[in-house]
Amino acid sequence: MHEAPPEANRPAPLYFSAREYQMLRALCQLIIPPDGKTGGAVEAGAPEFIDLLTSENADYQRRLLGGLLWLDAACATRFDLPFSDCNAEQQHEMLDAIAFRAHAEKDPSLVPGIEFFSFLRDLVLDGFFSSPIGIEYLQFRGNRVLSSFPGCPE
Amino acid sequence: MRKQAFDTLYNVFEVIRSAKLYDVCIVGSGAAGGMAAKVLTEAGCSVVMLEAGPLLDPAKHYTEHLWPYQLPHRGAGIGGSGMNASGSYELDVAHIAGTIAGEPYLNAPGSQFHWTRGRILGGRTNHWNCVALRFSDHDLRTRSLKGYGEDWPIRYEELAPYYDRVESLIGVHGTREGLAGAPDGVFLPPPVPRCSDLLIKQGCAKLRVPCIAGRAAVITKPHNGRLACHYCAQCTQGCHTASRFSASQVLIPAAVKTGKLTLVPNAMAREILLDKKGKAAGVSYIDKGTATEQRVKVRAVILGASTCESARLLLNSRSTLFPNGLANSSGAVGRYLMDTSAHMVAGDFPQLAAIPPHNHDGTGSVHVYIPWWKYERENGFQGGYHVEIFGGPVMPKVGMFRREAQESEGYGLALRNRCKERYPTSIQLDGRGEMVPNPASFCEIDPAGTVDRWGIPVLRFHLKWSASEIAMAKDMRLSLEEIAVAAGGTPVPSSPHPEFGYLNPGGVAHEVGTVRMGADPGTSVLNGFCQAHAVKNLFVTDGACFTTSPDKNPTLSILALSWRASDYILDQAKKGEI
Repeated sequence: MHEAPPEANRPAPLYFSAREYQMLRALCQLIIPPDGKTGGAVEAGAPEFIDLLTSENADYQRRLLGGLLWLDAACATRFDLPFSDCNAEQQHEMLDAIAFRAHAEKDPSLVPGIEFFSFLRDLVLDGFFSSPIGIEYLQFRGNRVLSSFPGCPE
Repeated sequence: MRKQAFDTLYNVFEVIRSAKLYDVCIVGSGAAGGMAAKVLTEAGCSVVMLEAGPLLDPAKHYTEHLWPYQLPHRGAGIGGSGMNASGSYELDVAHIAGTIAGEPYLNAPGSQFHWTRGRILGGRTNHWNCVALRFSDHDLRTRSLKGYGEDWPIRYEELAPYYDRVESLIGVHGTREGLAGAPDGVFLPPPVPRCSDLLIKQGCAKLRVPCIAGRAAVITKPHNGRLACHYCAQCTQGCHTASRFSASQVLIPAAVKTGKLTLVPNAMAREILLDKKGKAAGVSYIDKGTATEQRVKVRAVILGASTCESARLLLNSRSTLFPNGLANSSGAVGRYLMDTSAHMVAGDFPQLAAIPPHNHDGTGSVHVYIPWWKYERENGFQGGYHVEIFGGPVMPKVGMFRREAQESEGYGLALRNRCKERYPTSIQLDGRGEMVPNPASFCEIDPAGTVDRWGIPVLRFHLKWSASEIAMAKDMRLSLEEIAVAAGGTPVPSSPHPEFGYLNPGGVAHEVGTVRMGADPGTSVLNGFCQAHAVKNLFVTDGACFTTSPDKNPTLSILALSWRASDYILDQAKKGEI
């Protein structure tokens, strides 16, 4: 099991700027937070996973960079602050608005944010559930060598 | 230890324009080529085998037992494409891919054939689900019995002894059931059902649909020197213990042991050469390492290059004697390309979440399956299908929670918990059906002259489902949903294909036909022994030789047909006929 390295020793992101990456990490941890027993998406290495794929894919670059900028602009409109400077309550208010497709019906201007958030959420889930923390959280018990297969427990 | 044994076993060919005359050249090292190599070398023939990819190094090419986080992209592939540098899915065996750099294939407008190619010793047997079903007498005689498709030039009784031998050699598990449509074989004991299998079995019992032990080439006991399955469910990632059959680990080593096999890796066959009498006299190939043309001289040629590669090689072997391609005076080479028709129904089974966490893996294949059961009914389509059952709490992987995210939306602990709740509860019912041969489905050499990076003209595909397959897909969906409901589940609405929910052709990678056998040399290329009607020392023993494409997965039958053809070659050689 590997844990995320401490802040100071973390290698520089492959693609994102320091500021973008800080925002990406905050979003990852909001999407899959720690649950009190085990870590969340950041401890599971989701930001590194997303950074790697994005460094290799122009479409990811456009969608994620564009999405981060959209989010900052939307926060500025609502709260007069970029996302990272918003307090927890404001960040939740903003994410609550773009985390559900149905919200686009009342406010079509949310559509780009909803699209971005849906895309990022898929990547965060991939990063979390492909990690040691995520796999243990699901209580997966396989991928080991057995001498016989016991079948279904009673 | 195993790797070292492999290295020292292989007698790797030094690339020279050898003056040596081999008895047989086998093109391809998968189920067909591997089987022919074993039978022929054990009988004393000198065999040169051309393989378009590298030798297999399980330590390098297999991904068995790796966790997603041990892969460079956690299984998501480069840039999220799913693919690794060799074009394979990141979690799968290397060098088995749809996309190969410099080796394109084309589809004619309206055709969407996906061609998965194995360029590695053992071919696609390094990466398969191991389902091993015999064709029945009915499958081989649909024209006589039901008025559709074609009759094979072989009867079940002629094939059965070879099925016996193949099963005894490779190890196939199953139970004897006495079903006419699913002939019994020589079986090892089957693995016990998983929780998900038990649910489906109960549902089938309510509907009086048969649901029997799976039949698969995974050994549940030590067998012929191979270790029993260790139940990691990763047959498609390569099996280090060879507990699931592969040609590279079971057949090729046996042939190498005879000292009669010369293996030429990275050798892309481009043309079969003829002597003045019109008999096959050699094979011209490109050595990929030096990018030079090389030739081997032989007394007979066996093609096991894979269904479409074998057709391509014949079509590219043009001469004054055979201007339309070797052995193609009937025009049938490339024609009657078939795949397995496929439709999948997934269901939610929340009752699986109530079972305590446990190791659900089992083998990488089916523990139970549903053989075709509607023989005596009017179904509105031709042929039948069987159903393979997968699912439950399998190894987590990227992409697994797409649907949960779509449905639950939101974020935070609620989403995290929801994913955990839903994780063990999905079961997939995979329908696998017969495709009826139709003349509109074929491959041809690209008329625009496209060549691959080796200078070899490439294939262009024309593949279309007929009305029968479309009607069958509809029946699959309705029947599989009914089974899911009877088993206590809720079928998941799937996004329908314009033509009713089918995978595109090639999606199951069971393509067969294109060099079919038949009694009539005017409409077929080979006789019942896989021998070309027009060229007595040319044989095609891979899926290309199939006359029809029953619902049963092709590999077991390829092995049986190739063994039978090899025995015939030995017999004919003894009589001086070849």
